[in-house]
Parts: sequence; C-alpha cells; structure tokens
Amino acid sequence: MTIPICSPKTVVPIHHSDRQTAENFAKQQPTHKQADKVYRNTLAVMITKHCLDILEIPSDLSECDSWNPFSRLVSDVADLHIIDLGRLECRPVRPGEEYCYVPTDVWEDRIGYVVVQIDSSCTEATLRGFSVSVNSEKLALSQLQPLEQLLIHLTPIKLMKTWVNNILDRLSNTWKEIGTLSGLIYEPVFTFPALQHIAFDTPERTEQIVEQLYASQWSGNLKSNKPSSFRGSVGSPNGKSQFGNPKVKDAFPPDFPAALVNLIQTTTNEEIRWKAAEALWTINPDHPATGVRRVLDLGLLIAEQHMALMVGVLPLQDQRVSILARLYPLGQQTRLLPGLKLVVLGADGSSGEVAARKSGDNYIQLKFTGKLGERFSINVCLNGDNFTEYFMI
Amino acid sequence: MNMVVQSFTPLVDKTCKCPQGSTQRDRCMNQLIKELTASGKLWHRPHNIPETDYQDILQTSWMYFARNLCDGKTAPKYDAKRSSVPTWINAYIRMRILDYYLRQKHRPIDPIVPILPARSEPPNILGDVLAWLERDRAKLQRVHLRDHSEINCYTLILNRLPTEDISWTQLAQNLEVPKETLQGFYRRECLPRLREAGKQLGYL
Repeated sequence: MTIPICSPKTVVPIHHSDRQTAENFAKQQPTHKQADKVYRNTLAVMITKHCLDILEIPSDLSECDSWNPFSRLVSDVADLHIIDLGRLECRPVRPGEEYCYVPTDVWEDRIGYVVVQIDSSCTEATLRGFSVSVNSEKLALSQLQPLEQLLIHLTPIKLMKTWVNNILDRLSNTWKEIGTLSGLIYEPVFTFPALQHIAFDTPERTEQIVEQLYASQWSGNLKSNKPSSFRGSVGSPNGKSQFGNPKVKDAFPPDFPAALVNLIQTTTNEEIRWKAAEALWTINPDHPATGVRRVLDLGLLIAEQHMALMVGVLPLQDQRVSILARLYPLGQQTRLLPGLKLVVLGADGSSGEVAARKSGDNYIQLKFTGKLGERFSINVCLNGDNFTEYFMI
Repeated sequence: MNMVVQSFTPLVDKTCKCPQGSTQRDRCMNQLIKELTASGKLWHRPHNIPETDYQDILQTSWMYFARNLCDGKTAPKYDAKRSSVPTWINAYIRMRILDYYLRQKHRPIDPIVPILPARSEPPNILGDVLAWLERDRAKLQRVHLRDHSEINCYTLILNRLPTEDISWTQLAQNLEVPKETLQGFYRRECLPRLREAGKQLGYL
C-alpha cells in the first residue's frame, strides 16, 4: 500500500544570483542541450544547498563535480558534498514530470538523491522528495520519501572513509580512539584470544607467528584459537619449520611487516586477515595497513549493562574494506549478558548477520567486508533495549 | 564517561499497543510528548524565530507525531530501525522551520533571464579531452567488453561526450547489447579513466 504523503510542500524561491551562476556554467557548454542540462543541474544543487544551510547541515561546493568545469562537461552531475558524510545528488525535474532522470554517471558514490522541481520560469523550486538509492535511470516521483527522511538519513551516518583517513567526525565526537577507554576496558580492546598471551618479543617468535598465519592461509583454516595451541602449533611436530612447505615459502615476502600486509590485503579468510592485522599492530602500531579502530562507550543503554562497541576498519584493495564489530563489557562488568545480540544490517535494513552471546564469551563480534559507498548499520539489542549506529564505507 | 541514554522505546511500544482512538492511546501519547519535551532532545528554537511561531511549528509537529507514530496516517510510520524517536520528530520540526524561513523570504521579482545560447566554439576542456582520447586511443580501445572489441572505453567516452551525446538507448541499438550492460561497463571502466584524465590534464 502506498501511503499518501501529506507533508507540507517545501517551496524555495530562486535567487537571481543563483540563476546567474547557472547561466555562467551553461555558457561554458558546447551544445544547447548540454547548456540546458548544466543550467538546471546547477540550480538544483544551489537550491538544495540553500535549504541545507537553513537546516544547519554543512555542505561544501568546492569539492563537487557539479562545481568543476571538467566534470560538468564530461558527465551529467549535480552533486553536493555534505561535509563528513559524502555526496548528495540533487536532480532537477520539470513541473508535471512523473519521473526524475538519474543518469548512470551518478549511480555510485552517493549518500542519497534529492529531487528538485524547478518551475518553467526558474524563479521557484519545490523540493519533491528523497531517495536513498537508485537502480535505474527513471526514479518515479511517487516512490520518493518525504524530506524528513533525508534529515534522518543524514543525521546518523558515520563515514568509514573519514575514519581511515584519520578525520574525526565533525558531527559527533562520541566515537573515540581506543586508547581513551583504556582502564575502563576489562581486556585490551583489539586483541584476539589466539594472540592475547603471545609476545612478539623476539624476531624468531614473530617469524613463527607470521609463518603460522601463512600456513593457515594455505591449509584453508586456522588452528585452534586457544593461545596454548597457537603457541604449540608453531612449527611442525618434528621441529621442522612450516617453511618446509614450498607453497608457504614461495608466498612469504622477505620481511614480517610486508608479509603481514600481503596477508591482510590478499587473504579471503576474515579470521586470518584480522589476526594478521593484530600481529602487525603489535609489531608496529603506526603501520597504515593496521587500519583504524574506534570505540563507543554505550553507557548503560542496554539492560543497564556498561558496554563498549568497537569497530575496526582495514582498508583493502579496490576500494574495499574489512570491518570488525565487537561488543565488550566495560568497567566492572566482566561478562556480557546472555541473549545479547549484535546485528549488522544492509542499507535497506534487511539481510543482516547476527552474532549472539554464547555462554563463556566475554565479547561478541562480527566480521564482514564491503566496498566504498556501501551503507550498513550495527545494532545491539537485548530484550526491548536496542542501540543502532549507521555507517557508510 | 558514562552516558545514560534515555530510551523512549518502551513508551512508544506501550502507546502503539493501545487501540487506535482509545483514551489509553491518547494518554500514552500525551505522556510521550511530555517526556520528549522535558528531555531536552527536541530541536532548539532558532533565535530569529519568535516563540509564538515556534510553538505553532511544534503544534503542527505533534499532530504529525500523533498521526504517524503508530499508524502512518499522513506519512510513513515511525520506524525504530531507522532512527530514535527524537531524531524522527526533530526531522519534521526542522523541515517546518525550513518552510517557515522560506515563507519569510520575499519571492524574487527580478526579471526572468532566459538561458543564453551556448557557445558555438567548444571550450578548451573539450579540446583537451578529445586530444587525450586520440593520444590514448589504442590504450582505451584495449579495454573492451568481453567478446566485443568494438565496445571499448574510447568509443563509449567519445559517444557520450556532449558533442556526440548519443543516448544510451540509441547506443545499445547501434551496438546490439543491452543498455544496462553498456552503462555498467561505462561506470566501471570509462568513468574512472575519464577522472584520471581530468587529473592528468590538471582539471581535477
């Protein structure tokens, strides 16, 4: 059932100066058709920007393709950079049109699409609505969400890209660097059981660990996660190094950090990837390939239990990232409550992965990969209490 | 470091479980509105909006709240998976504040300026792009759709430039492949190369 949308219309007067800017951009185009396209795209971007200014949502034109003469010429773009969040596409429509044309050029790397109806005299515009994503050139206006949804959509996204580039969120300072919570955390935040008791104290020791990760990579699975077995399984029972395996040896780059970086970038096993990242982090915490980790103190939000949510991001190749979400007890608590769930959901709120607290665990976690522009949310719930944080890669 | 976050979820659940139109529903709804108002989480009144006007905005917003929290009578129903209750109602309040500001502005009565004719001479950028296409032609032609050497980066970029501006539908007909296949190839292979060219040419 389609719900009738009765939100008041948001009608925006178009300034003469905006029309002048649009006209200047249009004049740079080689054809009438392209000039008209650029004129209307420019107006749609400026109208949206004026509204966002009033809504106190900071945006910036200087980095936009719509503000770059090269991009305007070679592609059909009307993007507006929302600071810290990403690019919002502002598409123009004419009065009476039922569909908004969304060119293939702008189907990716957008945080959403706003449709702006520009009247024929170009003196007034109406914000028609918003869509989170598009999958065809024709976006039906009847399917648009009211603009309130745009504000909801823009409010909570945490952008992984800014984390990886070490930019702190402007909109929220609640996600901390890991170090800021030390002392409150029962166990080191970024430590896997298999590595907890292992000291990378000697080159030999490091070599053994790196070697085992490589061996696991080739054998297709990791040995037991228990620290003792991890330690015990280094080398084969007869004392011969697993380097004896020619496949392992050939794949092993000459130095440990390079070997670990290679593993982080190339393995398809998330368990091995994060163990390699942990090993690299222990050897060299500043190495860029160790990614970033941020932690959020959830306070007593869920069942009055003090917890922290840690999110780690490892940049991979081809604009992909590997993400680790882990829930920890904080402060005096040493165990998570039974029944607690950690859920990762896709942009549409469906098809998620779920991790539940099992007896004996003192944390729960999920690992997954995604590519630039993808959205997901992490949800923590127990009985009626829940907490959701939204992210974009 | 501790932050105790007030959750409105239990009261929302309680409200929506009451039968529509019942006095219990009204009572719970009022309680919810009271708690939200007292929580300090509502969008602040901008200093240049008079208190009476802001109260009008709030009044409209609470009507929206009551109609759509549980049932979605005039807008999509509140969805706890997407946002908290304060974020949801604040979005509506903020949009009405936007409308308020826009209404205050006088409609511009400046003359309507028609779009001037486009330049007859292509600008330098276009010349530069065309020169790059020719210079890198062989390289760009090597990147093609599987089993279709004629559908390559060179051809697609050239045909999509404003000087040619051949529609996707037309291109798909000419090249006898589905439009979606062409567009996918264009996004994956051509757009990144165009961007790279823009950087090399000093425009990006």
